[in-house]
Formats: sequence, C-alpha cells, structure tokens
Amino acid sequence: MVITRYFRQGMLSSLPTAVSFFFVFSSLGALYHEKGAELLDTALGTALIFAAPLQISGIDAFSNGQLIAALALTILINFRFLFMSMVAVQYFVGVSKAKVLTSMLMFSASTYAVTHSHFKASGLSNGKDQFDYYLGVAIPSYLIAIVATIFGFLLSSRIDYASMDMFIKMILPLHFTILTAKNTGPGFTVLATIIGGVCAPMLAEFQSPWLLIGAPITVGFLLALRENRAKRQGV
Amino acid sequence: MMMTIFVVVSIVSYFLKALPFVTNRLVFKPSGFIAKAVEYAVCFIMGTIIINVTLGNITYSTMIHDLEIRYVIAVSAIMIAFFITRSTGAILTSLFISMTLFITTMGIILHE
Repeated sequence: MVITRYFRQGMLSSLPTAVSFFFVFSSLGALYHEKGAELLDTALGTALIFAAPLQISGIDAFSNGQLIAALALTILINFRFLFMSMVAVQYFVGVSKAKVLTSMLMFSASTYAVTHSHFKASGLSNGKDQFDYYLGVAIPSYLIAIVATIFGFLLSSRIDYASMDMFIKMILPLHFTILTAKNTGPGFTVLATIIGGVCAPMLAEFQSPWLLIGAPITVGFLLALRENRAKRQGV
Repeated sequence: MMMTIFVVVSIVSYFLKALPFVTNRLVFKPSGFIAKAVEYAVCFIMGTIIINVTLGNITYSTMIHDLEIRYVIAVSAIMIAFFITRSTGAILTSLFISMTLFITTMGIILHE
C-alpha cells in the first residue's frame, strides 16, 4: 500500500481520536480483566466489534453468555452505524467494493465524524483520495484500540483508571463538538446536534428502544423538511 | 462462549455498517431530501453521544434533584471548544485549550 498525502493528512487528523481511543480502550481492557475474561477474547472483541459503547454496555451479557440480550443491545446501540454509513456511501466512488467493505470493519462514530467533517470542510471530492484519507484516520485508530485493549488488560492492576475517568472521558465529546463546529455550513447540522444533546437526558430517562431509533429519524425528517421549505421560499 | 457471542455480535454490527455499500436501495442523492434527513439524524445522534459521555448518561430527573458543579463545568468546556473552533478553525488547538481549562477547573474544584 502506498502512503499518499491524503493518508498522511488522515493520520494527523486521527490524533485526537487515537489519544481518546487509547484511554477508552485501555480502561475497557481493564474492565474485561476484572470480569474474568481471557486476554485473547478481549482483544478479538475489540478487533471484531470496534465499538466501545457496545463493548462496555454489553459486558455483562457477553460474559454471562446471554446471546439474545447481546444481540438486542447491538441493534440498539449500533443502529447509528447504519445512518452513518448511509451518509458515507456517497464517498469512495471508484474504489473497489472489496476494499471499501473490508475497511468498514474500522468504521466507528469517531472515524466517521473525522472523515465526514474533513470532506465537508475541505471539499475533497476524488473517491480514491477520500478513501486514502479515511484509511489514514481509520487504520491508526483501529490499531491503537486493539493495542490499548491489550495494554489495559495486562496493566489493569497497576493503573487506577477510575481516578482518571472524569478527565479521560471528556476527550471524545470535546473532539466531536470540535468536529461539529468545523462542519458548520448551510443547513441545520449544528441545530440537529444541539437538539440531540438536549434530548439525550430525556432519551436516557425513558430507555425506550423505539425512541432511541425514532427520535433521530423524526428530528432529521423535520429539519430536512424545514430546509426544503426555506429553499423553496428563497430564504 | 464469549468468543461465540463476539462473533455473532460483530456480524450484526458489521452488517449495519456495510449494508448501504452492498445495496443500492440505501443510496440517495447527497443533496436530496432523504440524504439531508439522514445527515441530520446522524448529527442528532452525535449530540446525544456528546451529552451522554459528558454527563454520564444523566437523566433530567437526576439533574434536577442533584445538580452538580462538575456538570456545569463539563458543559462549559463543550461550549468553549465549539466557540474556539468556530473562531480559529484549529482542531488540535481547540482541543488542547478546552481540555486544559476543563482539567484545571475540575482540579481546583476537587482540591477545595
């Protein structure tokens, strides 16, 4: 594989994600160690699933062998990936389907957010360059997640993750906020993000799977409708 | 058993990620209505992730009964990060400043 300019740009952009992933996945490794999981299972879990929220929320279901509960959690928590890849599908034109499908193993909310935000801000439109950039973001993030999981598992008794938790967990939301701010253009992207933030405690209150999936669809639909009307009226 | 569950879960998870790249039924014109609606839905989800991680999946009833200063500091850090990025356009600078402010303020609060 040739390391292009776009791949290097992607690597640089992945830096905050990589730092965040290092802490998040190492604490995840420590958590699995506490639950009595095997190192190989834990590392392969990250390599195959690569979604920290699901891996953390589903730890009891995974370690107790509750397959149905694990599947329900997967659909509920990872349903967002379907929406994200529905946006990402407009990119990578001209890249072989096999390469794109293989790379989707490294697709996560963070790799999506960094990539999408960059394409919107920079106007990068060549499919192959876009794919190089995406790989530049995704490959280091993915590898660091696996290494950090192993690191956290092996050093779980020596590092006190609980005392750092409050600081570590702020990296991810700050990074996502920054990407949202960078991605503001015409339309309601910031407004949609704010509405999501305001609704989050409400969704946490009700814990309804229908609301978790239905709320973003409804808000997305209403905002797109509003934008269409504004365009028609020439506002 | 854990490995079997990981494999099954990862297949479902991968299916959700890859589906739009496999079928043309989920491909929409980028400037069209459905593509816009999906993009806004994703922004909504990003907003929920930002607040859920920042405030630890807090609910409004918990917030009303037990409003802590650390929630205010965390939300302030988010707002600072947003406005610094809007004015400077620099991702790493903004991340560094907002994170430093958050750690310093939380450090002072916890020390007292």
